[in-house]
Order: sequence, then structure tokens, then C-alpha cells
Amino acid sequence: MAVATLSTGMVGGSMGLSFWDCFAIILVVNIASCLLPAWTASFGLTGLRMTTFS
Amino acid sequence: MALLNALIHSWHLNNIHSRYSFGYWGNLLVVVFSMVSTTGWNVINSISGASVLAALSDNKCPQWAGVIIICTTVWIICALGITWIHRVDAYLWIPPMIVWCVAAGTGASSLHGAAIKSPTGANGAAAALSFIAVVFSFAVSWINCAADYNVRMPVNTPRSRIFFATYVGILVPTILVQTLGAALYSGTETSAAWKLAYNVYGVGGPLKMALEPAGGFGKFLMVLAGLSSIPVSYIPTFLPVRFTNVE
Repeated sequence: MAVATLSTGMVGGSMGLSFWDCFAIILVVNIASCLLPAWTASFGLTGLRMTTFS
Repeated sequence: MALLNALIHSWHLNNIHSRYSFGYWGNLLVVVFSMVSTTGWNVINSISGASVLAALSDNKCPQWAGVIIICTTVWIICALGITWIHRVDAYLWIPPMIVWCVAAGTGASSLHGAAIKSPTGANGAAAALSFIAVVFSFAVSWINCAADYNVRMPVNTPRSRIFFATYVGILVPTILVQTLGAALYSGTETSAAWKLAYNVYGVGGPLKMALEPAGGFGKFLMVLAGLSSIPVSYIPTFLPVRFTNVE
């Protein structure tokens, strides 16, 4: 993960949230939201388009 | 369920479906939306990386120059094609991982879990909901390009395996690095120097302070951190090309 991911983690603190509140949000939200890209990745065909044409 | 099935069906056909659904000119609108999305992603990445390079050089390499360096490198590697993108991406995850591990170790003494007290009531709810939205939007931004990282897998690879690999591959580093970011920010509340560095350089400031105990090696790691924006920008940069190819 790039430095933009690090930057995203800093946003909570800059909004006034404590570290542990930030950690709880990061943990719970990512566990749920990362299911979406994993789901669409399993379709596979966006990649097929790239392989076909490049 | 009918709506869900329709969505899945359309996503299976993906770009071809957009071409036949929207027509020639309508699909150009899809291309524009894709370009807007890609631009937003690359803006965040390149500015974050450039802030690290600016902090490292004490602004001798200003942010605008860092953005040009990062975006030009991304463009050059994209021009080489998807095969080279995957070759490069197969190894470029290693340097950032070393950077984050060293930063967590050398900066640990300045990090304090109780440095900030969360606001209560409506202000606390507003801050929490806003942060939830930011974290959610970061994770789901992988949706339109996550599959492109799997194109070199055998066609008979089970979908469950792709799902699991993608889920773990995005989830684990995202949680670890975002948590490190939250921890590094706590240093700005207990140290005036860290606070000043954050105000001047943004994300690059606290990272520089955390890596400072490592001396010259820390500066080298700062360069790697700044350039870590490059590998995550290849695939999104390819997105508009993908849709345009359908034309």
C-alpha cells in the first residue's frame, strides 16, 4: 500500500478522533468494505478486456 | 434479487455491455466518468507521494515537481503495456512494506494512543461518520480495477480463490498502513516538531519525523515511500484506455 493509504489513516486524527476510535473504524469498515472489490475481482472480465487489447 | 442478477450480468459483460448499452456516444460518457475517477485516484496518490519527497528535501523538491516526477513515471510504465505493469507490480510492494515496518519501529516512542480524546455528542458522531466515509471510499475505489490484477492467473482458477486472495490482499495492508497513519498522527499531538512537520508537509512530515532516528537509511526509505505512489497508479491509469478500446 502506498503513502496515500497512510494519509487516509491520518484523516481520523485530524478530525479529532482518538487513535483507538480510528483503529476501531479502520478495522470494522475495512473488513466489510473490502468484500466489494474482492467480489468484483472474482468476475475477472475487466482484466480480460485489458489483456485482449494490450 | 432480480436487480442483483441484472447487475452481475451486466458486470460480467462489463465494457462490451457499456458499449452496447449506451451506444457509441453514450460510451464516451462512460470513458469520461472513468477518466474522472482515475484522475481523482491519481491526484490523491501523487500529491501524497509528492508531500513525502517535499518533506525529505526540505521543499527543495516542491510538491508540484514531485507530482510531475510521479505522474511521468506512471505514464512511461503504462506505455510499456500490461505485461510490464504486472512484472513491476510483482516486486514493488516490498519496499513500501519495509518503510512502514521501520517507521513503526523508529517512531514508536513518539506515538501515544491516548494523545487525542474524541469529541462527544453530535461533534463526535460527525467526525466518526466522516472518517467512516473516507475509509469506506478508499477501500471501494479498488472495485473498478481489482480484477485487472488477476489477468495472468489461469482461466480455470476458482473464483473463491480469487475472491479470498483479493480480499486478504487488500484488507491486511490497508488496515495495517491506515492504522500506522492514525498512530503517526498521534505524534503530532504530543510533539511540537511533529505538529509543525504535519502542518508544513502533510503526510510526509510525521513520516519524516518517524524515520529520522534511522539517519541516512531513513532518508532512503523516505524516497521509497514517496515513490510508492507509482505502482498503485498503473492500473487505474489504464482504466480509461480499457473503456476506449471498446470503441
